[in-house]
Amino acid sequence: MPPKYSREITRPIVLGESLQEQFRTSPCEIACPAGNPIQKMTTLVEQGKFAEALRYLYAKNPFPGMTGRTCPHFCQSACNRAKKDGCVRTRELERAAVDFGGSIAPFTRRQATGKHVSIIGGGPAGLSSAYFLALLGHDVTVYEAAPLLGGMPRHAVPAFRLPRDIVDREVGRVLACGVHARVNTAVGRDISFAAVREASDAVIIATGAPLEKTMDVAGAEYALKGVDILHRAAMGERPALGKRVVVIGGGGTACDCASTARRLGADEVSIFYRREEKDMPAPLEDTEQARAEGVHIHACRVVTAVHAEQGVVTGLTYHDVRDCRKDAEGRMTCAIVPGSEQFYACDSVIFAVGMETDLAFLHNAAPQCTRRGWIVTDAAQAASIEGLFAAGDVASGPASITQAIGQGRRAAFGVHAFLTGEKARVYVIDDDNSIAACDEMAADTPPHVVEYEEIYGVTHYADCAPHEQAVSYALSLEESRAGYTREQAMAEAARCFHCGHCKQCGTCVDDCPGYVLGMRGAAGQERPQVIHGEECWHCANCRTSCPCGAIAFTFPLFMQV
Amino acid sequence: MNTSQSTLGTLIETDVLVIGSGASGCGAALGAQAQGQRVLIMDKGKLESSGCLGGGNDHYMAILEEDSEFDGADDLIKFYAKPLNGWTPTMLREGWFAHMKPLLLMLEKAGVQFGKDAQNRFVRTQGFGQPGKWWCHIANGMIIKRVLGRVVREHAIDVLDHVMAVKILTDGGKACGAVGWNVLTGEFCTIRAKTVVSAQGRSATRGTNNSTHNPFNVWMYPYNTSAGVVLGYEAGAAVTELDTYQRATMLPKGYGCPGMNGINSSGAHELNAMGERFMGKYDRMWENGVRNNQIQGTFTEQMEGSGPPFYMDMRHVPEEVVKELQYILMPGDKATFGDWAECTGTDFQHKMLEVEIGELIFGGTVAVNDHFETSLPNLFCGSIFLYCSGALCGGYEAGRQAAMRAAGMDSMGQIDADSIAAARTAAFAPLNSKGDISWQELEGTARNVMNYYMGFRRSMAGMERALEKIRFLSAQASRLHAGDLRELMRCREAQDVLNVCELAILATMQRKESGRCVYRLTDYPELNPDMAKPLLLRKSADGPEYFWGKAPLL
Repeated sequence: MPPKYSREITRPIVLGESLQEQFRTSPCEIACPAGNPIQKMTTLVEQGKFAEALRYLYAKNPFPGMTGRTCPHFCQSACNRAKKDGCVRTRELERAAVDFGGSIAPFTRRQATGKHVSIIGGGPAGLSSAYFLALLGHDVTVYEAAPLLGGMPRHAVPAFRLPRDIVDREVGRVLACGVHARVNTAVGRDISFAAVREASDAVIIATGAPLEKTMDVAGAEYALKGVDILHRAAMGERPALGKRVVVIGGGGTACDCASTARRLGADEVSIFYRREEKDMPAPLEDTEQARAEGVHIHACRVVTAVHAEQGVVTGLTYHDVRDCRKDAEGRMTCAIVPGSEQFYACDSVIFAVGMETDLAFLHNAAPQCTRRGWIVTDAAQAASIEGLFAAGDVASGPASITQAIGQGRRAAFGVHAFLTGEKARVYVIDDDNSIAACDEMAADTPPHVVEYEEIYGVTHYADCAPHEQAVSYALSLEESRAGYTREQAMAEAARCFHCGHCKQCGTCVDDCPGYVLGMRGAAGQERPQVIHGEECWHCANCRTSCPCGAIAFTFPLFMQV
Repeated sequence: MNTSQSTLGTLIETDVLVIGSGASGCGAALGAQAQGQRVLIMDKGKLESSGCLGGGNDHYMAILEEDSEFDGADDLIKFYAKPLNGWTPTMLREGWFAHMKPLLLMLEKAGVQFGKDAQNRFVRTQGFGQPGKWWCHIANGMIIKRVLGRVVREHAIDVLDHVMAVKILTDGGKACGAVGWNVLTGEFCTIRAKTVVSAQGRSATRGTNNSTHNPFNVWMYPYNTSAGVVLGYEAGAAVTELDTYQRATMLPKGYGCPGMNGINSSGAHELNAMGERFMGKYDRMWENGVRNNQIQGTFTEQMEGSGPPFYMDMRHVPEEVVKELQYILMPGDKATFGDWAECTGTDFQHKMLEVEIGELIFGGTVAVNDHFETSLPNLFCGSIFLYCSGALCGGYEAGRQAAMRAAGMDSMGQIDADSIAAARTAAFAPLNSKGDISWQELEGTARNVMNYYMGFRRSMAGMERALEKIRFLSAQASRLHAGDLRELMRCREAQDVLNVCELAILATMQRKESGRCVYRLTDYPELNPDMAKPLLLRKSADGPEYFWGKAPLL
């Protein structure tokens, strides 16, 4: 009969997607592959509590500085505020938590379990699982083929998007938890997979998708590979690309390559993409930046040949296409426009057309894989072979850094349950700053995702466009996006609707015609509560006044018979 | 408004005071404001959620002169101008019909979503035994009161939220204001005005129980305790319909809500325990007939053992109709309906909906003449007609009339400090008392009396016992104790319940007949043709004076 409030979390949640106290939630939190506590973060940032916001983030994600800059922000695409006056710039707020949160004491490691876990791959997935496994008290070794840890964020994301000190600092936090790292150690080359398994109680494969795809066109061998170019640039090389450069592809890597080519001295850089520009998977900000830097984006074009003379690229042939769509098996097909063949002169062609896994190191010990060569896992990231887990691109196909982090965290708890038998559905950061099982907080059903139309109290919000950070298009190797100022971040965080999470504003109390509700709790922590539920008319004025859509209803037994 | 402080509390002056901020109060405030008068609207609740309309509304009754038949003012008059209720053709034409369409368009412009057809005409359906299709469907009914509240606030109308009126002030036998107190802060307020509109609704439900025995789990707004009748009566105005506005509706078993109009008019069949569709025995329009007949009919079946259970069966109704009913109209009428339906597995399309006869309303209103003025000069009443549409339109006319009167007045009446001081002492008495009974005990006992003696079958002897017992309870009111302001508010409401129950018993004992209302009086089982007129009650030193018909007073 009286309302039931879906509450904001009051301590950092490490694992647990269904909470009893939070039975309604926002599209953004559901959309975040890393499981970031977005609304708790916006609450704290709005109050200027950046350090506390960062602490909540670290409970789910060891790399908020990276995701706060590079994530394709699924949250923002899902944000209910987009239907009013523009989505909340959640990614910038995550970065602001890092920028202004200062140095946070690391979480305390649990008592040692005596179990040893090996993780193959030192990218976001591998390091995330290492971070949580170490905090859970396990002995963890990460095997990394490259000289440096960090994976794609270190090797393939341009420094003007993600400064290297951010990568260093966040990787350092993982190592500070007691994680061992063996760099320059490729499993399958420097040590056999069998030996790694033999030495471990469990193994997580997190080798990503390191192989670059090519295209089935004449002269493809003369094209450069996008991630390779980015990697070389990231390592300090200055690959000679010439003055006219064409990048093939429409994802973030294509934009990174184009913007990098401009920084390496190319005057005329073009992106050729086979579908329409609106279909480009690259984040909108990245295509906007590329365009602002003078990059030309040509949609609905496919390359049909790369031309070279004496091994030096002279140009390419392209056709206009239409009606690009995926067929029943997920392959993209396009209709070439007859007579649209054109030659385009250029000095280099860069393919940024996707990545593939490389599981050769497993020899005959590979677990079940999909047709595309991705390792099949269950919800706990366990592969088909006992004691073997997989996380990140190797398990899901090329995705995002954020997804790799989320899978890495899930894999850690999957391994933990496998090794210790502790299978709580919820883990929190406890008062002693270490991870604690808290199964009693878990709900049996997933939260209801609140849609815009369910937020009747949306009239409480005045129109306010998103705040814009400063961006430089100066083709510098310095970071192009300045991030928010403190004040900007606090103002932007205030735009959050807090969909499905009570923000303790008390409008429901003010509007209850039966004076059934009241604000109760310690000073400064008052929140609406049902005080006289027996006098409730269940008129739902609490719900229609609520600016968060945070209210559901319960009915006493006498109303159910 | 002008506000000042005195030893009596806060003093506010305005031109037109509207008591009650539900649909009729909002209508009254808008009607008065449109005449250019200063208007103040007061309610113990908050404008955005107060009144029956605060719980939502799925239909708005409107005669629009669009259809070829049954869609004009004369049809409204023919259907509603009955000797019994005292609604005259003038009242219906000027007070309801004239405002139906403008206020419908006002609501639409403000954001209420009405169903429209391809020609942009309002989609309307038929109900309540009416001859024409008069009911506009509303898609976002759960926010209609918020929309109306916003309109009121945008019209430069002063709003006094959270202030419970406890007395209408008079000067020389004319209304000149009211006193009340803020239920959150205890602030005592005196409002002086040239004219006053009573707009406190007609329906009060706390006099009886439904099967859940929770007096707040009911059809109509449970926070209305007929204070409009009580305040009007105490001020000397004649009150009416105490004997005939005793109503009930069928409820989904266990869930207090409006909505039976939509269910009945969807083509639903009511079935008894034997699975028989029986309403044809009681109304020639079956389930779509007069609501009293549905209650009478169901009660008769129940007395004969043909139920419970009773069901509304909508399984044969077209899918699109049922879908709109369950997922749009019912949640619009009561915004928690969807939650309750999910909790209980209610599914109109595939399962029968068990229903019960709900609580019996003991309500009524202050009697008015063709200008919506009561027998107390300068006191008008807007809570005359039925439904959201009737409340809003009737309220609008009452406000308009009150403002026209105020516009012609040079000054407002004098207020009497002694009378105000006495009202304040009485209002706060339970807070300061060493009393030993709670509002729950007093009010709950009153419900026991009414449930026992004042049900759908009654006798004169039973009503005499009821009167005796209600008066005994009223005599205990001095023992009430309130621990805080909220309990103080409920203590006052409990006394309202007792007062209106007493008036209802007295009025019903005068109406020595059966058949004009939902109850039957065993001693007088037949209709008395001489009683086809309203009964008015006016306070005198010896108890109420009774008047048959409106003419003697108005």
